[in-house]
Amino acid sequence: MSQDFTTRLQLQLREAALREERRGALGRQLAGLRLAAPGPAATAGFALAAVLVAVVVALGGIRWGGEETVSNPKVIGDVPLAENLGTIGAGFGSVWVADTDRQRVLRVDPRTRRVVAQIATGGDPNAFGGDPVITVGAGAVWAIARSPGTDGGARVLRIDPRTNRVSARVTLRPQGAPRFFVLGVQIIRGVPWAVGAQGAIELDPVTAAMRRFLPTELPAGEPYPLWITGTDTELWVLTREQRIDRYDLDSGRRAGSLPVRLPTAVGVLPYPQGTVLLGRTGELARIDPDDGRVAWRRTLGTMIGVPVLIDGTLWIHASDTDGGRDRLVEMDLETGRVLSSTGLPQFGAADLTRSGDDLWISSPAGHVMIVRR
Amino acid sequence: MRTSTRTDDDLLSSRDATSFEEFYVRHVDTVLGYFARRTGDAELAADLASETFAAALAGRRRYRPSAGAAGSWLFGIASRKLADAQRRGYAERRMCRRLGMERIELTDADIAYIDALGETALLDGLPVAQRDAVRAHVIEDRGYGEIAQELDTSEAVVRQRVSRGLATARRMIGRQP
Repeated sequence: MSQDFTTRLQLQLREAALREERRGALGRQLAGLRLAAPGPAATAGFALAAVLVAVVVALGGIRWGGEETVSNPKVIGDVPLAENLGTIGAGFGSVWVADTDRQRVLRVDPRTRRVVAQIATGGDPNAFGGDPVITVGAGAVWAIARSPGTDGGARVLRIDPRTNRVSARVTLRPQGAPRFFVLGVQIIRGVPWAVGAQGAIELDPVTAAMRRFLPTELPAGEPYPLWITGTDTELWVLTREQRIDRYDLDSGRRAGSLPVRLPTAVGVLPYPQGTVLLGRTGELARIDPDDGRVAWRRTLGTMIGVPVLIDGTLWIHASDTDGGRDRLVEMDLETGRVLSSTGLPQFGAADLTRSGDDLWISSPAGHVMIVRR
Repeated sequence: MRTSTRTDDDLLSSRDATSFEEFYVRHVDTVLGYFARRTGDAELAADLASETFAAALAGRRRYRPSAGAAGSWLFGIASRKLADAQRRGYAERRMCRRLGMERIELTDADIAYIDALGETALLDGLPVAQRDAVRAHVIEDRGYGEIAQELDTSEAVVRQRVSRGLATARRMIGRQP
């Protein structure tokens, strides 16, 4: 009796799994290269953080049962929008979310929760974290669409929220960095910057044209930084040597270096109200931005996403891969105290944004979860 | 037949290609049989099985052992794919396309094989011990002694499981509309 079909399917799956493994090796290198903008522009900037920053290692994580405190926030919506969702941002009276299954941006009315516009962006369906990667701010919605098979070659698309159309489209090829590996757009000082493995490119807010390239340096043998993010005055680069190198945004010169005292750190968020380190295995720490001293440190489950900061409170998605539900955790930035912990209806989060009184969480399974604060 | 002692949860949680392939080998016939029985169409069953395993491969990072057994998770995907196909009237191939998997044309022998799996899919409703015993003895044509050795039990127990399993299957057939 022939089993030819099952054998052929097995071979197809093997090839697909091996391709995924190869992509995964690159993805792991980039897993820490998450981009986020601090301060009031954070809502837009955080959309750059493609997925979650941590992986499954259950060491010393708190148990949710012991962490449960008052849970005032409530889940008020769990809405399927697509097969897969990625980054999410709010602005222009809408919530914008990346449909990474069909490479388009969905514009959602936050009152009706319905998709009111779809903007095709193209991109690589197999890109790590999924394409497009979107950011809302500087008068537009910005989308990164990577080119399949070109080692990170990418276009930046500017979407005009008045027309829901792509108004500008630029391929990023800065001088001196022929293969600029862009991962997202951050809004820094009200201006869009394409940020990637080799530095950051300032873009024209109207035409998306490249204005200038600010290259960064990495220690020998380090192909990508763990994290790169902008403040109002500087570009911060977290390296695998456990240092944060700071570059002056205006001059491009290195302005200093800060030791990192959280060994698992893979991300740094320099909010004006305080600097936060994100750990690979669910750790979160606030540090002194001058000397790197740790003010407080907490562990939330085994996997965390990139938080948003609202009125001195951090909101962060956390998973416990050993068991239990995913949660939206509210923390006091000053003290690190957990203020609330709300169970979520879906596993996994791609991104998180604020829309009015609500937090919208996009899930890789294609839902948005809406939590009323 | 299992080729290692690793659990399904372990295979699915691992990120390497070999583990997923072993997971596939363990479940492909059951999934195919499930679709064949419910659609009565070998080609549709093959398309749905391809799409189900492609979705499982692409989505295995989201699998959480705490949320249920790996087999249940796989059949959760399968049932959604089936419902989707019934609604659309055809099987989507979105995940296959995403993974670069071309549609496999079936031979007559493939169709016969899948149809046969559909007939044995009734075994899915049996208790695990009975199902494994019936499958090993009736479908794979293995002897009671060999099965008993693999399951680390006596031949008499295997005979009993096969007998009870077949009786249960006959009763289930009687309940089919």
